[in-house]
Amino acid sequence: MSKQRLHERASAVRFMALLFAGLLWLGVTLERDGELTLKAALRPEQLPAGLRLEQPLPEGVQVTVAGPRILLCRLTLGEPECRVDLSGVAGAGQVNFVPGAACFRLDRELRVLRVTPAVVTLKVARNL
Amino acid sequence: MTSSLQNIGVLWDLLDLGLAAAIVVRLSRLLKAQMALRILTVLSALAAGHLLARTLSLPTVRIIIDTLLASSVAVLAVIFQTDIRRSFAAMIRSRTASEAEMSDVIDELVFAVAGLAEKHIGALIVIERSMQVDSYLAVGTDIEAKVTSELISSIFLPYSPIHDGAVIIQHGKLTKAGCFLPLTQNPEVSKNLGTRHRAALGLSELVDAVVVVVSEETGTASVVVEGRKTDVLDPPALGKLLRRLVEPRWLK
Repeated sequence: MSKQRLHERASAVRFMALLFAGLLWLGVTLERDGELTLKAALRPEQLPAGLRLEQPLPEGVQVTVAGPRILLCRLTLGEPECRVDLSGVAGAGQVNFVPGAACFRLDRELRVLRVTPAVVTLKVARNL
Repeated sequence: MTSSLQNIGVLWDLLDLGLAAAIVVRLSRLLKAQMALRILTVLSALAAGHLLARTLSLPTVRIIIDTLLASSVAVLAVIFQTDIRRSFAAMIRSRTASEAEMSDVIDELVFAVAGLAEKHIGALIVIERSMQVDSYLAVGTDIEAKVTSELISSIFLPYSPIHDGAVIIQHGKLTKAGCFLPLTQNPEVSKNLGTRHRAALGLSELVDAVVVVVSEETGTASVVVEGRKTDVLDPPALGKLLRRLVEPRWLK
């Protein structure tokens, strides 16, 4: 085998070794915990028949999430939603809703640290 | 304060990455290049697969890849135990051992030259130093073997098909035989010198290689360097001269 070929092969091995080390390091680093604050739009669900939500709806909530960075990276790719369960609403009026961790349907490894505002107020009216 | 702490964190990450890279590069040298390349490709694919499966939340794929990655260390250690053992032995070999290796090459050369000279068998041996000789060689047969007196002697035996050329020693290995070298064009060179000596002078005028010539007619050995020929009287003198001219780093 020529010296040049040997040199090329040695360079290829070095490159692959560095790539593998980089991927390994990335895998470990991205498992470390981080925090991310993002905006989640409100998504009202299960509103009883005969009732409607008065527009405009609140803009949404700001949620701070903690957990492995690799999962936080994934969150930034989509648009998170805050599901508002309105099944318990009996009639027209103001409904106060406290967005909890379950509303965001996040990965089990992610934790919700803060939600701003802590209480969301919706106005429910009867259908005309 | 926070900024300086962040900087330390970044430096720590870089140190972590650098050390990880150094360990993987060092370990990859324990195996032969082609095998190391294949294994590293598979391991990199597994590591990339792990990242992808984790990002896309594919737990089953992730479990499979993680199991393969975790067991790969044990599997590789079992499969390549012989190579790893050999490489570790080479790694811990001291500098003295490398010098002893150089001494081995020169001893083998001297022994072969002495035998050939005694039998009046012509020989032409090129020892590459810092400048590559490949571009000045014509024809030749690739050999890539350990330098031994038996091998050199058998190459130059008159019935050997590659006896009529030079053998090349590069990085302590006998890499080629039967190579034709450029002849000297110097008009001042004695008319009594044969083609073998002219070839030795010709190459030594172009590169810094050390060329050992054994004359078929007189049975004497000469060392040619930088266009100058030095006749060597006996094997110990040849060994001494070669040790002075060839540094251990050129035989690695």
